[in-house]
Amino acid sequence: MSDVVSEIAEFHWLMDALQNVDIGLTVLDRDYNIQLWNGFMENHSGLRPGDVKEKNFFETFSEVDETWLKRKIDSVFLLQTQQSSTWEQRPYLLRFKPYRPVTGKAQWMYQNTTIFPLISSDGTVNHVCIIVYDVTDIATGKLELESANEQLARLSQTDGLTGLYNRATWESMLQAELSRTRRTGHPCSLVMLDIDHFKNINDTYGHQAGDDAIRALSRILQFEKRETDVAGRYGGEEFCVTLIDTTAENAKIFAERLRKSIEKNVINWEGQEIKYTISLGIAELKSDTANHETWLQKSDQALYFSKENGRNQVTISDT
Amino acid sequence: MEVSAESESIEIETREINSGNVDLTDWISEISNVAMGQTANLLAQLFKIFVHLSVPNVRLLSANELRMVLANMDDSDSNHPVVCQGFIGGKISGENILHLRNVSFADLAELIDSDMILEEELELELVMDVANILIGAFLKGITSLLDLNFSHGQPTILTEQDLQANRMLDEERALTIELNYTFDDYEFSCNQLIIFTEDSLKTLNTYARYATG
Repeated sequence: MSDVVSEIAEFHWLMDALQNVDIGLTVLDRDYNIQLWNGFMENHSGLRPGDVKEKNFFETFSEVDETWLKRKIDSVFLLQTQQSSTWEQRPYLLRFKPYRPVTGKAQWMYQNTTIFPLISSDGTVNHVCIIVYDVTDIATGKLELESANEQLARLSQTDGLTGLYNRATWESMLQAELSRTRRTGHPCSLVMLDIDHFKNINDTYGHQAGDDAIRALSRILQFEKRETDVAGRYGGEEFCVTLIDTTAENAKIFAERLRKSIEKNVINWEGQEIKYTISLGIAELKSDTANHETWLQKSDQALYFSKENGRNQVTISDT
Repeated sequence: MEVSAESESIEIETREINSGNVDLTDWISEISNVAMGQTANLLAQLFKIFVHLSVPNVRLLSANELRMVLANMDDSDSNHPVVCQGFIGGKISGENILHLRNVSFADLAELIDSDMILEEELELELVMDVANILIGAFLKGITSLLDLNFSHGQPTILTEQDLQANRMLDEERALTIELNYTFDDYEFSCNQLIIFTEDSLKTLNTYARYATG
């Protein structure tokens, strides 16, 4: 008799452990009706075991993707093996509130889910157990790290003043473009440009006015270029654009458009109006262009010619 | 007590959410007072010193007011850690926040009778050990009186960012219980802030009506 008493006592604390463990536990039968609903499920869903017992899981929780979960559960019944789903596949099985609704970073509780078969005394499987793990802290930590890394990558690739690619990043993209163009045989042109008499702007109005001119030019450049074109700040007041699938003649159309936009642009600096112009040089990639450095050199020479020839104009490299 | 325009407006709001004659904040205050007495007694037994708890201050705060309360905790450094534990159950949820002040690790170690050698990496453990005891005791007192059984998250130390990132919507309110702990013969003290979210208020009101008939 005392054996029975102690067995009942053991059963009691065993149930207490299942009830209070900080993991969600629910058991479904073959018709997806809820048979067990532990304290975690009760507290996070706000539904008591009496509210959900013998209720269909999918009717009770409309947020659950029925087709997806049924497929998983059915395979657990058939194969008698475990099935899992992580927060990275689906953020949650049941839309529960996170533990820290005020100071926390998550809108909902991120969950990992495991489903496994419960084998009855006669060896058949008539129930599955679904375990819900709260992985909110891990998930938010990882998501934050990813966004911080993205931000760092962006910062290390762009120029702080203009938001264009910095020289190192732009040059490595130019190299990649060169190999790609060699492979595809499509035309590709490189435009170098430079603000005319930039030193005068700095000397007359100050360096902040110069920075404003650089920012204004970058904005217009971003606006005028196509989405596939790659623009960078090469140095001080010198900029560069790679125009994909573009011959030198077509690049000239873009260059002229940009030149005219800049010519019309007026910078308001402390009540004064500053006007400025740019000179441009274009070099199309030729079969005899040895590498990206010689390509750069050619467009730079064309730019130099524009400068020598009176500025505010476009020159195409003829070599 | 000084009555400012702000506390008047809170009182008006409190009446608005009460359908019936029960004042939710009054009722929670009563329960908090009972729980406070029990908690002081239990902590004194555990620590073997007198623990003084202030009379709990129960308020209904707007999202903005709560933001200010949390921002004020933001002098947190290693001597003023803020520990937080979330809770949920029976359609009530919220956060339990403990702000330890003027912490000296030697004091904490003495308080819980730890013979830990005081190295820097063990300081966090010590803070969490003491915070774990303090943070749970009072809320447990309240839930016992309400016959509730919450699930609790892991206690974590809140950073400056956490304290500023308030997820509450502007139009939401929260019921808060604030109380202070001081300990005989020790320099350090604690402030506790228990926050019940807006969607808990309806359930708490039902309890209040039921309890006060």
